[in-house]
Amino acid sequence: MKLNKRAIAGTMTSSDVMIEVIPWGKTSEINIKSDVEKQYGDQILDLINSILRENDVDNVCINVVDKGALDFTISARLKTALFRAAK
Amino acid sequence: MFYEYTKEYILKNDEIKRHKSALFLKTIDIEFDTNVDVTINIVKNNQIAATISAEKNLIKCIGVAPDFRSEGLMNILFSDLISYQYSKGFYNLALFTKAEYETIIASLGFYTICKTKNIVFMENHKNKFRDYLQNLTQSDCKGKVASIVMNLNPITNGHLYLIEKASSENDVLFVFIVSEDRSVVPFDIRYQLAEASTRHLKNVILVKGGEYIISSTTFPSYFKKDYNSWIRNYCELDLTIFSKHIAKKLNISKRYVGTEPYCKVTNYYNKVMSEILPKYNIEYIEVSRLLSEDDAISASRVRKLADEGDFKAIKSLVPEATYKYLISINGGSYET
Repeated sequence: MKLNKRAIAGTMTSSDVMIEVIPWGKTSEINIKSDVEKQYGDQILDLINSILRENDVDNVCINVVDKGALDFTISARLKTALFRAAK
Repeated sequence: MFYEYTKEYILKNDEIKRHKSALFLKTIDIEFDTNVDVTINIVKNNQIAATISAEKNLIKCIGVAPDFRSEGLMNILFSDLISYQYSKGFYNLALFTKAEYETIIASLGFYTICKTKNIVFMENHKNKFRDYLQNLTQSDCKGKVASIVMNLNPITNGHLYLIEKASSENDVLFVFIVSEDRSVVPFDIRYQLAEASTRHLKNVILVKGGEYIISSTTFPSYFKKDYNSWIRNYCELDLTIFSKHIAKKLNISKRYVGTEPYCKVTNYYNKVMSEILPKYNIEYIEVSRLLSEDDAISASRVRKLADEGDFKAIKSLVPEATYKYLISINGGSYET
């Protein structure tokens, strides 16, 4: 998937997640802020990395503000942001 | 519950609704800033429960009614505002807040860039400031390194006098040019004129000031010439960012300023500078302005003369590049 512009999806209301995708010309970086970072921070990171791999996305900055979203929600929000960025 | 609320988006031209937001903010002791471009309210039973506004990339006037706190309204407002601003091309958002709200706002995706004893400056991108510091310069900064921050709107002999003096007293001189394009002369031209006029000074490095040196983000009052209660906070913050991060990164140990006879805000800024810089071991050096016919040379005086078409008077006040530029935009002709 080729990203052309930065994009955002989701909200910061309870049980949701807001994810921003910024294409940039350097090594990927994932910044996570989560209310449940201690418990699930690594799991969120793994999930994001696996979705990036699936979609063949590299050289991107992902900013995540998580309010306790379930995996399905995180996955949906990230994919939406990626598709918007690929437009 | 969630669905009992409605939201309203208010633009600058909706005076009536803006007035309502202002009245609401007043009840919780916050002053509405009429410069904001957009306001988002959460309304319940015709009453405003919470509000947020933004002027360009700066978030302002955040307030939640006491009865509606701890209901997650801030999260809704921030989500909506960030999405809205995104659609308008304002990707990087910033705000000033009091220390007591730092944690809450941090949980909404913001990072603390700098704080003073009164305020915290936060941005929603972790790397932006780090990248700014990294990109400031590739140059080697050894020996005595000094700095000047100038608007150069446009560069005059007064500026050049200060630059030449600082250049001769130091090994390296950084001249930060305020890059905010709210000046009469556009930034690119101000930079070019400065480049042409300082070419003879080998140790001068011109740097685009960017967003963290007297910009509408870090120092909003400067551009509105606002002299209100927040000015001290803004000055302190701008100067703390400079001293703690920029000067440190570039090994700067001095900052030169010209005496400021006209502008109250600049004058106050300089006063605060003289207090803050020494705390970070940076020397504050104030130099008397160059006089011409008993009057300080200032860019505003030059601009006024240009408007009047008095190019003869301008010629002795500005470097050649500026002179040519002023004539070219005012439709005159010049002899080379």
